[in-house]
Amino acid sequence: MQDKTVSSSKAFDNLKKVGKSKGFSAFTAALLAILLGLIFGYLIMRIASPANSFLGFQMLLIGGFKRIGDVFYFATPILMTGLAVGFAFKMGLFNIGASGQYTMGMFFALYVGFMWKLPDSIHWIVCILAGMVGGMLWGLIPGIFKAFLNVNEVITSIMFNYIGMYLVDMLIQGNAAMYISSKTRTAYLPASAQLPTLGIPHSSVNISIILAITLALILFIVLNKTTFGYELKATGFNKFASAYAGMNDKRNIILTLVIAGAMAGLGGAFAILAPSTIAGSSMTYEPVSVIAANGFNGIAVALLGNSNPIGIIFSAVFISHIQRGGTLASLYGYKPEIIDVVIAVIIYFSAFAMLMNSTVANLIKKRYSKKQSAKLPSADSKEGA
Amino acid sequence: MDTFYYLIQNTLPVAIPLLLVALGGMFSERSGVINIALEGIMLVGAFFGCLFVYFVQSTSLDAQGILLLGMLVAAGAGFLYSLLLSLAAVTMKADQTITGTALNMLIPAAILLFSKMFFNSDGITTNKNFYIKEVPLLSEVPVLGKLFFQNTYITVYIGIFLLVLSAIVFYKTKFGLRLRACGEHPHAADSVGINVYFMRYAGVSLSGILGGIGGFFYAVGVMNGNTNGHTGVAGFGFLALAVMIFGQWKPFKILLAALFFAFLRTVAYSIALIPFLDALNINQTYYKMLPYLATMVVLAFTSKKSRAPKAEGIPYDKGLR
Repeated sequence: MQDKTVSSSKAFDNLKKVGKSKGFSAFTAALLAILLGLIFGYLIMRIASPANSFLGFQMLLIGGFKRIGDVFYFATPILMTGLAVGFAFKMGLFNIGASGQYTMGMFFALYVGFMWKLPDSIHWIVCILAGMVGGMLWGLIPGIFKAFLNVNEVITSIMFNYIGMYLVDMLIQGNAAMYISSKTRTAYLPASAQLPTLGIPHSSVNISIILAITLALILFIVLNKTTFGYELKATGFNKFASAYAGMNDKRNIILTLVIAGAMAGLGGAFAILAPSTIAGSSMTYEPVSVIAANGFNGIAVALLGNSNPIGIIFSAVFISHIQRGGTLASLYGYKPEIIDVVIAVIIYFSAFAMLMNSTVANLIKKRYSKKQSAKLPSADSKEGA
Repeated sequence: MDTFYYLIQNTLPVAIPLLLVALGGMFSERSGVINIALEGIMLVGAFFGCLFVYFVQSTSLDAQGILLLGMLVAAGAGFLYSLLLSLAAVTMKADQTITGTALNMLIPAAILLFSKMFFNSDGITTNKNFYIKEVPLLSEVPVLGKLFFQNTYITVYIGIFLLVLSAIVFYKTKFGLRLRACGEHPHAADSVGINVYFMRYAGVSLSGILGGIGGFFYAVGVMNGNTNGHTGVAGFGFLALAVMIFGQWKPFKILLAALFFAFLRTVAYSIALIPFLDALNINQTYYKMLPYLATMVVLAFTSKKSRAPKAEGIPYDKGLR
């Protein structure tokens, strides 16, 4: 009897070690936030139309498996914007401007795709790089404002979301080669500018998902194995201490936001350069003066992934998965906006999920230790007898 | 001269939402909580205000009476929504910016969902006319009558009244003094017996009330009583934050800043009526970008000597002294 309690308490100790590690608590916190978000979504579905709510919710959860290719196609841009937000988070900067950087990246990629005549083999690569430059530019500006003029990056990047959106819509509408006014959309890109597809039928999934995952891995290495990554995280923990230690915070702020912008810009390029499911056509952009939602979804992705590039890969796929499920839930009469509501609720809870998490963990621990202390005397009494 | 009158008459209904929301932001930030959720709070106010108008517009109620009641509804809705922010940011000590962003994302999606389900549209369209052609007697006054009492909305006078009220509460009451103390040095405030959590709840709630009213006034004065989930309040909540920073977290400076931004926006949308700007033949989109660009320029010059509340953005923790 005693042996059993000893071994179980050992197992409990091991469990406690895992439970105390930072990565694990971030993971459970994310799960808790997701769970609460999904419960909220289900409640809304119950209220909206009780009869179909179970089937609809089921579709929301597992519908994505029926469209695996699409899940990965739609995961690519939010994986990139998620990296854009998460990377800046590591330095304590809130890059809410991923939308504007994304839009600029998309525009630069489109521009090179339509206006530059290049050999087929490198055209799409140049398009991607152009998108990256576009995003970097829109990341550089808030960086300069923050580093040299002490303007809060949140306000700057929000303003540049609007400026970028109006600018891109105007430039596209004014360009006859890119814009078909009768369709109010951009024309199809030439085939040489489109990304090579992965060949999964009925989906637009293409090589960019592989590039995106590679980039996430590179960022992981940069953050954990380089001096720059160390300085960046140190500045995020305590900017005064790191400045005192001689780190060049102005340079680091600008560099971080430029890299973040590059990621979001690549996201825009990846999204727009994809071939669509109809042969010969490609994705198109409709200038409607609305800020790109993928930038904001990137915030959700980054938070769920705890700003860790590896975590962001998984959270991007998850968010894309429930988005596809939400689209399919419209078969049961639910509007796809329900997913946006669920995502917003997930972000809200993940903002204090860590705290909730430790409260729950403490409760369980208390319960467990109570049980244990209740057990121990009984074991002793048995031995005595 | 007529163009000038026209511009002023159109600037005021745009300036009032900015003014009220920026005042709300001031209350919240001076108590120590960054309120980036103002955009969402405005949209909540606009939506519930318009929903109320939608349901009562066919009754025999007077238009201005409906507007006043709608204002109360909007204030209540904004107050309730802002509680979500205080709950997370004050009680749960969560990151204030992230929580605010979540609240900003939630409401447009919820409005689209709700409106598509029940109205089969992207928002709410009302047909009540809140416009005041001229105020009796006062509109006869030379110059001033034309500027302030013709072709206007009652929202302008309510807005000015709320500005004066806010300034009195902020500077002349015990409550205002305590609120400001919590934003500068919460531990000192706590040590003399002020309940920091309560004051922060109060600050955020005031911003919810003012933000909700501001949102409804935006829907009335700028969108003709309509609201929708796609365009929302077109970044006015964020512009209001910029107005607040430009106004250095002080009520009357905020008024001037709000007038400045509103004037720029009005000019941007009425290029065709201003002969010398129209003659330049510049794409109108440039003018639409103007308020945002102006924000950046203004912030670039004012942020260096910013008078931001010292403790803003930091969750208050009694244990840390």
